[in-house]
Amino acid sequence: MKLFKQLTKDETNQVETTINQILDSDAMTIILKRKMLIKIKGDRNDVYLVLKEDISLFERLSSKLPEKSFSIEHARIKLGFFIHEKFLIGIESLTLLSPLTRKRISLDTKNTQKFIYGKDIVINTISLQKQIEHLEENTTIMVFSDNNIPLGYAKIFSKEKNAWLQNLVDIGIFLRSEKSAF
Amino acid sequence: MSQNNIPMEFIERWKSFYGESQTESIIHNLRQNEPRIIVPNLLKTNIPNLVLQLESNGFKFKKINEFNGLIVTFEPFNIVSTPEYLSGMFSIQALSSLIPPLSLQPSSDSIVADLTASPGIKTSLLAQQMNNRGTIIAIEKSSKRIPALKANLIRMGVLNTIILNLDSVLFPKLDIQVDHILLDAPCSGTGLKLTKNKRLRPRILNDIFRLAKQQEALIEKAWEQLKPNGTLVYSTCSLEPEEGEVQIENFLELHKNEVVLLSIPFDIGSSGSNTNWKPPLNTQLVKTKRIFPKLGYDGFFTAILKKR
Repeated sequence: MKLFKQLTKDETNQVETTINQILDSDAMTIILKRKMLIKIKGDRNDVYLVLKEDISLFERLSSKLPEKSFSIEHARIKLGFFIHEKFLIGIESLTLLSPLTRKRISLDTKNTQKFIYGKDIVINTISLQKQIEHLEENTTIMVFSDNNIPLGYAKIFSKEKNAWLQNLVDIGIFLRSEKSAF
Repeated sequence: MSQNNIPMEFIERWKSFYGESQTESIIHNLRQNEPRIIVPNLLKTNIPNLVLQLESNGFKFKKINEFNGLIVTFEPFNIVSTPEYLSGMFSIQALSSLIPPLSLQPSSDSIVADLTASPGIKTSLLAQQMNNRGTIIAIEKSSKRIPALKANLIRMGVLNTIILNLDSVLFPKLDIQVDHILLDAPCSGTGLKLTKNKRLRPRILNDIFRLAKQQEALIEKAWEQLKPNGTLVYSTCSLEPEEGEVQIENFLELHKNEVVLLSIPFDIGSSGSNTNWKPPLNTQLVKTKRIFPKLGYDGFFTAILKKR
């Protein structure tokens, strides 16, 4: 494998669709008109959003030095990764995507602390219910604090009369797993 | 023989370079506990907003005039567990670490190489000055230090950086010409406060000479890749002239016709020419900065070299 490779058309479609669904807009489609998606060598098939002109830089890097003497470890914006051919959103995408999303929920201080400790959030107040009542089960949404700090991603689940946010990934990972997650 | 865990051989040489009184001040300040100092990340917030949010959670601060720094004077719980820290609204660092990246002053369309990038705080300061545009090539030799570099850059919202795991002496082989280079060189660390310095006690003088050789090789290799009119900021957290003033003196001698020293754009510290080094140093070194340890600052040396 080269140090990097461009995503296939199917893979690109999957990333584009997944992110557009999370954002509830076509913002990712617009972004991809100016930028492109690559994977860099790694076990987890990480997906990076780079400038089109970066490709020639990476080609040159690959040709100038033997592969064993260096590696590309990160390229501009990591969006997530493929596991078993399925794209999963990563915490690294939060800075880029948080200003663009329309599907969001804000948590109070207590729930913010719970969420950044990696916990799920029970939808047990009218305020929380109202924020997600228009959304279907299994929808992935972006989670914010009540002072608008992006905290991570969650999926809406419900069973009988109970609903909750399943924590997919949150910014507490920078504290919990700095050495293993990145 | 040592005084306060500082080997006597270091104390004696500091006295010969900087005099008795400055050396006493160095020893006193190296022993001081460092308060926690936070610096806002301008990609994500500003001082009033940051202070408002953290004070609403019970934190208290004292403002430092230099570099928008804030000393944390009361911490009701660990500040690194706050959403504000985890979302990259600020970093925790000694103020001296801000001087090299802020001296480089890259524009938003430039290509910048950070040759010793981990843990990434200086890289994120470069990204802030570039408004997250242009390109930063962040190079780190140690694969063990890459996860911290990645985590910090992601947390701080840096979007314009390519990280390479590469020995910086191989940088010229990549054949990339860049507008600016930050070389915060590996050094003896004798300027670091003792509370965070695991390196000073076992250091021997030979380490300084060995590291000075490494630093010399790194500057030479970096210089090859700098575009004409480009700038290179060289810095070390060392109090030893061989890793600072003398290193730059030797570089000026070797590259007389192709280098100009620029002044450090901050009114802080003292001139790099103020040592009792024999023979006396090049008068151009007045433009470099020698920072002695004090509240918020480690001992440090910085120079800006411009390529003609």
